Amino acid sequence: MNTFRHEWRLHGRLLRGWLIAILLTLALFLSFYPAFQDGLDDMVAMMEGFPPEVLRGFGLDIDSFATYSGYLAYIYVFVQLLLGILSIMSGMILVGREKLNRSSDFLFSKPVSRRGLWLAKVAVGLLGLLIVNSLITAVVYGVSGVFSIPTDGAIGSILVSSLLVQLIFFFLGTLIAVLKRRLQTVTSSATAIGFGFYFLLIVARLLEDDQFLRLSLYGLFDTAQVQRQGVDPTNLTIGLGLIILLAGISYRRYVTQDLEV
Amino acid sequence: MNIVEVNHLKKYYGRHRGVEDVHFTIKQGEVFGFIGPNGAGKSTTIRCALSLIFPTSGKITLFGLDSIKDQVEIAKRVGYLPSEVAYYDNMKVKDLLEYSMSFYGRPDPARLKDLCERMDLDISRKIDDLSLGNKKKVGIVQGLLHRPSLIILDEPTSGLDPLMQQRFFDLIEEENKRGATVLFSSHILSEVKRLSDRIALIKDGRIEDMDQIASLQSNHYKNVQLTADPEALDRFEGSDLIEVKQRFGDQLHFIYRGEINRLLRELARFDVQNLSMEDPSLEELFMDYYERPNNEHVSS
Repeated sequence: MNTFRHEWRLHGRLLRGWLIAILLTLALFLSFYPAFQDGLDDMVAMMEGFPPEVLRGFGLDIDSFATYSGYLAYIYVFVQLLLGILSIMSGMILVGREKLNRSSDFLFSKPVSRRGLWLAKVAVGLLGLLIVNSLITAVVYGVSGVFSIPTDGAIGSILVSSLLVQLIFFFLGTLIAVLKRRLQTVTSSATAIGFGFYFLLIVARLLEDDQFLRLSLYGLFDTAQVQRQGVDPTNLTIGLGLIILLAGISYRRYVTQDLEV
Repeated sequence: MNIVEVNHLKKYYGRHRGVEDVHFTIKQGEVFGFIGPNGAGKSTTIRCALSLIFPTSGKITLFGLDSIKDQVEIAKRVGYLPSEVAYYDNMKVKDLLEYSMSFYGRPDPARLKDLCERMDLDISRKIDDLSLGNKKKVGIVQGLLHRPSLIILDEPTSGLDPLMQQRFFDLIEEENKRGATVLFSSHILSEVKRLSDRIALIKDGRIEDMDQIASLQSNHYKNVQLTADPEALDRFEGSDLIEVKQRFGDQLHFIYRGEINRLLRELARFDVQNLSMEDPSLEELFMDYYERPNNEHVSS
């Protein structure tokens, strides 16, 4: 419990800054929706002028763009990019904190098992993601309430499936933290990884290739696809399997690896 | 009762040797010094004992408990000061020490205050503002806060000024009188001599010798000053028994390794005018071990 409290206190500092940025971005984008609705015909006419590749690449669907969930699916890709980077960073920093501070000898010589440490750190990360996603959900439904915008079931699917993407990135971050001998540049590494997968998503959308879409990780639960067709059961299975696999390898390495001086 | 038992410990980092067949025990209440140059395997042995790294083969028990399986139970009774002290930079010393104490149950503010006063440590400062010496003090305080039964110190005095070294030695001696067993590694021979009941000399991952300092000094070799007829000394100088250090006319200074009666029988053939024998200093012993190639030591 003391490790959980300690980690939560340190992690809270990271979360606060990112949370403000993500929520402001989301609230700003969502607040444009009523204006889009007022000028929907002009907007649709403009979108029809775009090359189909651009529409596909950015996940723009003219038919669903008019709905709140369709609009959310479009803008949420950018929010998800931020959430992906935050998730990788959280995993790397939490599990790799002792590597970052070179304080492994201090913590690992205390009467606490490595299993207990890993679980406490992961629990802090998961709690952080849960809080972030709860607040995002509150903002999404809050904006719809304030502007009296009708909602549909697709919004819940987008938000829940987004959490699964974040979990994949979080455990990917924990795995990187245990595999890398030295951690120094967490922010730039996490940003590069987050953007790397995001560009894969755009390319996969352009190619309309399902396998490639899955490789981009974001594409496992592509917001545009989830909004139109719901969560694909195969992708859900792959996503959950990936979370378990990444978490399992990360845990195994954490409890068995030699600590660097 | 043996508090520490290291049995045929072998540790390789990939293809690189850490330690090779290290074997020793430490009894309750003993202060055991682990001497060796950098890279000899001192820290590797200690880190294996604390399960910070895992042995390639061999077994370590502390308090009769398995160092890997019973790591949590062992850690409750161990205080550890690593050779390189690093903590969470954004924390204050006070927060770090409280965090450290939280692992051992009930906090002991009186003990914390006493240790900090004695080590002259300002707990209101941030860790990243501290000098190496002050970080070392934090390490000493966090290692001793919970009154451990086994204190493991890895090159403990590096970075400490002489006054703090003195206070640190006093603290360790007090803990030892209280009943704590101490294992410490160092290459500073004066502190080894001051604290240790028994020492092990480690070189290239293997223990070269292990005994009480006095025994090691007396059993290892002798510094001999011999005054005799120069012609006799000329003949004696060629003997394979000795290693000549200096020769001035009828005086010969040499090192003798081996069984002492053999030397006396040899000397009885000469007209000896004067003879003095001394045990080597710890420094000489250390240099002798580490300057010689492996497997060249002659047991007495």
